[in-house]
Amino acid sequence: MYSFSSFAEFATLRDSIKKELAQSCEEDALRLFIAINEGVNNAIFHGNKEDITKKVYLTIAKFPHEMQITIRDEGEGFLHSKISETTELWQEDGRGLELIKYYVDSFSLNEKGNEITFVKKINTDYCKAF
Amino acid sequence: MEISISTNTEEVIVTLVGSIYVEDAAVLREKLIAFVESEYKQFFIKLHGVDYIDSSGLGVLVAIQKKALQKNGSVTLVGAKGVVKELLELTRLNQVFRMQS
Repeated sequence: MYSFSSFAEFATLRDSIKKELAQSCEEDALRLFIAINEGVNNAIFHGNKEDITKKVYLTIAKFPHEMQITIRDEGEGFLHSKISETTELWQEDGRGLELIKYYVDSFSLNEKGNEITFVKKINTDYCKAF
Repeated sequence: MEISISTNTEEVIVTLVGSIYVEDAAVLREKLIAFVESEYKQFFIKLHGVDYIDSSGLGVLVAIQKKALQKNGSVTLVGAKGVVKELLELTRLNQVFRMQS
């Protein structure tokens, strides 16, 4: 599990996370990393509201044919309100969840709205199963 | 992210290299807002060397385009490829900017 409380701290972990994801497949790892990065941005910014006394927890669970990612923050819960929002073309923010939805196979939120879990299936035609 | 900026009369040419994350987006916003709020209105943003831009970076580009359009200028994105091109298409932002290969 990774934990961090600021964008600066998360920046120091990005390479390790990318390397861990690439153990299965570099091509899918990049898309999954995009989803993780957007989830973390949301958690730090909207969830914890950049309060550095609060942490974000990122878990990467590997199963034979899929990876399951969980991102939890220590905020009051914001995800349910964001998930129903539609992004207008000229909007300057709010594209994070749209990108997560595009790059993963399924996702769910906890009741409070401070935790998102998403699953990316491993395509064994061109990626190694765990 | 590495950023280099050159200017001529009304144009700003911005070359970006590397990955654009939230902390880079903040730098980009600060630098480009200064130009768009002065006499410059045409922006050419070269993305040939960019391998990733997150949604905060995309948001900065939209903000600059909105300000440039208010001054009858515009932002042209040059050389987007790979996942950067994919992200611009997915978010339909390729309809917001002038795109050049």
